[in-house]
Amino acid sequence: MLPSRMPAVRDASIVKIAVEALAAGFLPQLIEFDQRQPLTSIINDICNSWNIEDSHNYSLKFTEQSNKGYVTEKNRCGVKNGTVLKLNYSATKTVTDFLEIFRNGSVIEQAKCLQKLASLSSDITFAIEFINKSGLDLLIKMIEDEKCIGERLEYALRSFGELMDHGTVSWEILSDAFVNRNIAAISNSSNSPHPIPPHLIASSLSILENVVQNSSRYALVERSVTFDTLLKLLREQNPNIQQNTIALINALFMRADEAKRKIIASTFSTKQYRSTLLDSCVLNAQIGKEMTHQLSVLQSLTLGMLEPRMNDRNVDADAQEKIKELRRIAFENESVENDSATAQRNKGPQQQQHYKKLGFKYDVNPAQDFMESSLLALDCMIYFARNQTQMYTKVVHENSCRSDEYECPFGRTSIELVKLLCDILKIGDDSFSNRDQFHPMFFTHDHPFEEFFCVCCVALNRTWKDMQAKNEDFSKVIDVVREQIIKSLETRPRDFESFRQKMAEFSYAKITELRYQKWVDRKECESTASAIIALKEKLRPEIMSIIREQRLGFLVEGTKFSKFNRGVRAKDKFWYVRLSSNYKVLHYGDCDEKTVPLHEELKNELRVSDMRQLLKNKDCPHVKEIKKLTTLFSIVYEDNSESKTLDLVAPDEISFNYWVDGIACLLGLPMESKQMKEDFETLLSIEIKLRLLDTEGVDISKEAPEIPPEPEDYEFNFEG
Amino acid sequence: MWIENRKCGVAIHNWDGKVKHGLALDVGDFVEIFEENGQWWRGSCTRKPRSIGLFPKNYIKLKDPSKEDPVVAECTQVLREWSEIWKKLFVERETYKFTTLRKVILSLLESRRELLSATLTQDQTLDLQMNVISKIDWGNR
Repeated sequence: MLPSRMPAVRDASIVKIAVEALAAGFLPQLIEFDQRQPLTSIINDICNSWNIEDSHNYSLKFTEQSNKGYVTEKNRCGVKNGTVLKLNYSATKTVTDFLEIFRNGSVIEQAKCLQKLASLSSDITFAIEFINKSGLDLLIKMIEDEKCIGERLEYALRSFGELMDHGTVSWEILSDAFVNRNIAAISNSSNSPHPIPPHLIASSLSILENVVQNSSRYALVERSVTFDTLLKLLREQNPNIQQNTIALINALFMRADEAKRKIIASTFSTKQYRSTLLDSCVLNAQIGKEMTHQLSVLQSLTLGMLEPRMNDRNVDADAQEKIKELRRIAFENESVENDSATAQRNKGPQQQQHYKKLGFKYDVNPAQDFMESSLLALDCMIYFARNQTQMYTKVVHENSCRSDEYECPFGRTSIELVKLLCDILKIGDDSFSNRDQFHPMFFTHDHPFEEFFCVCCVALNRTWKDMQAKNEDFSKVIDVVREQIIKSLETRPRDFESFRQKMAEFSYAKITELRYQKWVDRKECESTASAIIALKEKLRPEIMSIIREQRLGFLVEGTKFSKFNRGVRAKDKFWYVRLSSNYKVLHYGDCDEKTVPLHEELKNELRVSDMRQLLKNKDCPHVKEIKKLTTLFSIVYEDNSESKTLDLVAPDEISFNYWVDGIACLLGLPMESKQMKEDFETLLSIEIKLRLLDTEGVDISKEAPEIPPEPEDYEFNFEG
Repeated sequence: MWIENRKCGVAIHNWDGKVKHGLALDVGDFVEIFEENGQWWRGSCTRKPRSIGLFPKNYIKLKDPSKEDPVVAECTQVLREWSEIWKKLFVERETYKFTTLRKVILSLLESRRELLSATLTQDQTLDLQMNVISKIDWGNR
């Protein structure tokens, strides 16, 4: 047998692939696909081996799930080792065949062909070929033809949508007839004798959305598509139809003029439309990403209707009237009692008094408060006063009756609150592309914004009280309320009652707790930062030396040890052991219970340089006599080349730990007591905290920042 | 070229100072800056005030000390002074004073954090400041 030769340097431009044939009866080919060879010649070779003569009518296509497109000179780099391609009729050939059938084929042939067209149209190579050969015009003509119905229309529309999606043709080319066909398709969906396929309706909706966005036929759509039709479509139990309907509504909304916008907004705010939206779309458990986007755009558009009012600072007669009404509702009872001549004379000052109690900045002329903010705030306040009168008067009186500096000024806080709510809901922010959040509860009320305000206003009052805030704390209260609202909205409450409960749950105490938790988490995260771990390591020797100093200090002071006689503590007999202050000698000797012996009184000496070893508890020689196993230690030392031990029993655990650590230090060994570990942690933890005092509110870098190239010169302005 | 620029800042990472005229810093070190050149600062560190040297700008987060609450600043200074005393108490085995001072340091740290969190109302801030000052008075005795 010949040894198989290793191939020479493998040519990277040649890939090994498989090619399948269009029809059965041809064995798949395994070929080497040379990236440098033109596609036409590769196709020619493939055709030759299958004895196919008209190779110019063929193309190769990808066969992956995500890509079934034609292989072109541009995308051929996508052909890799192991790729499976399929030999197929070329785009040109297919388009020519299709057009022939559209012109002369039977209805059945056309239907089959349209179905193929629908799936091929997403391929850009095919689409361009089809459009260039006037296929699109022919397709439009077919759709305009009333005789094109059912399946044929469905595939024709879908193909049209796919072809237009490539963005190469302007939407302006469409005729009224074409648009009308689509309007008809969506308009009598439920009462037509032959039910229109849902796919067809979805395609028409999508085409109409594009017409509204991109063509001057917008007016025709606006005129002909009724709210009623849209409502019916929303009720269809088909997510595609619902989603495309909302997209169409959004398109109409965005294109509409001011007057028309108001009509759309108010129509979709009525109970009938709202509850349809709510039941069939908003509360749907499996709501997709696109639907979420469309609903959030719709919500933004509807809430956006408040923008003009938000920017309106023109306090007209109507607004003046509302301001007076706010006062009347709050202080109605009082004014009745004061209906005398004197009261009439006092009316001016009394009114001012009332406006002051309402918490306006300018109690002489509250209109000015709104000239500096917005009439939307006034609308919300009057809504609160009219619809939740009891709560309103309670809020106003509760605050105006306290004579201290802790009252929460209703007027000023309401104005600030409305500003905050507009900010949270992004009212006045016209970018819709990245909207992906909507609040279900806003679909549950005729006046969602005002209702939202009422809940938040009551919550703000409670928070103000909880915080024992004063006027100067205004912005801090607003900060807390902002967090309360955002946290509550994040739970996606389904109605205002749930929202109210959530606001109560996120009390000031809860927010403080959450903020603290966030801080703790941050610190936790910081403590694992490489910089801090390195710093701890760096501080270790310093802290160890403090502990060492303390232990040796303890030894220098000395300790009184009990003497034992045959395992029993001898009465009135003690040792005293003390380290010399230069840490070189242990002095020890007898002493009595009461006094601490003087230095000269300790007759025995043990030089540190003679110490050899430290024994603890069960390793000690005197363990046999004394059963107390926790505080025994022995110092092994050399005396005239003889190994001896000094056996001691510490009076308590602390002195035991200090002694064994101290002796370990003298022997040059690491300290090992439990006490040492504890002391180390205590000292290190405070040290680190103090070292990092200035980093409060500063982000510690997780990784070491890159060191820049060194400066060009060292000619400093200041002496080092 | 080195240009005078007086600023203050905090080190956000450990800097080994291994460049010509470098000044090594630990994370958390407070620095006083005198001058700058491109991506470098030159200044000193309050922990070792005698040496001046270079450190990269991206290792420093600038801070404006004039914006700091005076009580917080006082706290910082006092805490650092006390930590020296506290370590001395440890060495001298003044166990009772050592544990007590540790508790006060911890509570002062907590108060300082609350003051810095800027979420307190004025009343709460005043209360806390009084509390801190009385603790500082206690500790200084």
